[in-house]
Amino acid sequence: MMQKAEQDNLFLNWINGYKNLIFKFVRAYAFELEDQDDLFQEICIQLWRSIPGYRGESAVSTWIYRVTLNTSVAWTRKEKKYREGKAPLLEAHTIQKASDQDDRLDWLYKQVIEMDKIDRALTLLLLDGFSYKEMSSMLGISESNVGVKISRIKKKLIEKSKEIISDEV
Amino acid sequence: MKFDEMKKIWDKQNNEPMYAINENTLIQMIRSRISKSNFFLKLYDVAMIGSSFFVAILLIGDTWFHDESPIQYIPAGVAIILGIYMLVERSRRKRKEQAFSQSLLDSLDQAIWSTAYLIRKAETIMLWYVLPLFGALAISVWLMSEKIWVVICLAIVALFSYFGILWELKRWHRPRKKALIHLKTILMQE
Repeated sequence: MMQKAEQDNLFLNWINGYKNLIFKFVRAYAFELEDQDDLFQEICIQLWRSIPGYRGESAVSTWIYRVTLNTSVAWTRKEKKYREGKAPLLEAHTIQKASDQDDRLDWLYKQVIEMDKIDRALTLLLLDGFSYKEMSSMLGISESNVGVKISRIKKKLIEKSKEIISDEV
Repeated sequence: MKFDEMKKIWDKQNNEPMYAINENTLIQMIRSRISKSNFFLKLYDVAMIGSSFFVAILLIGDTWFHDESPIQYIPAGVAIILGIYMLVERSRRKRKEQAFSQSLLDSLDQAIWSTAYLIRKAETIMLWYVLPLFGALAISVWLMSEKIWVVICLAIVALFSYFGILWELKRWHRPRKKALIHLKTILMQE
């Protein structure tokens, strides 16, 4: 049985080591800062709960990815009722700073956000470099189904980027 | 823009801090949220299971000590069955909640199951507890004191509880279940 302090330490290591992975999902699935804070909380709770079940059979990054993905897709804005009036966990200024650095990243997020929740998950997996086999295992659908969906997503993204370029011209 | 270029743009953020995390608040929040949710679930389970066994003991005791008709053992038996059923449901729910979802499909199935469980629970409370409880209370009050205003107050509270649960089901649980099933359909379709 894992001690609470041990669980807290491992959890904070996970969060610090993989926060950027989590933030991508937070930004893709929740749009207002308040909601992003809620989703982040929900992901943290699920990660914390998942620690005793982690047996090291998969890489930590894959485990965290699975928990984050599953939580983000099933998340809705219900969490408002749990708000405790405490200081927010996430501070807003840093996200603004990051997005100011590259407009194309903002554009990419905009495209991701416009997709349905499932395509959004697939796009994040694709952009983070997962293979069809890994995606199939993470999503619980066949590789051929993943392939069909991915080629549709890629086609749509490339077409949208052409629109942007033609608008600029 | 080619897809590889999009991936390069995407990868750029891997080393950029997007938010700052307040670590102290984070651990406190997790502890408090988990203990809160466990507390309410435990309270509900203990109240429901405990009240079923309590009613069974009362009925059996009453029949035994007052030489009442043995027909009273039937409702006692029903209360015991209900208590055992809720105990089994509770352990089933706990097992299901503790299982880690290996895939998004598993996770959606689990979320659909949990939402269906909540819906079933809310409907059970309404039909088997809220309405019979207020009905029995109203009859007892009427038989004992004939105070119509107390009966009316009880009826109003019962109606509020009834519509409150209906509202919760309509506003939250049923749309959530529908949305989850929709997500599962999208995930499965080619």
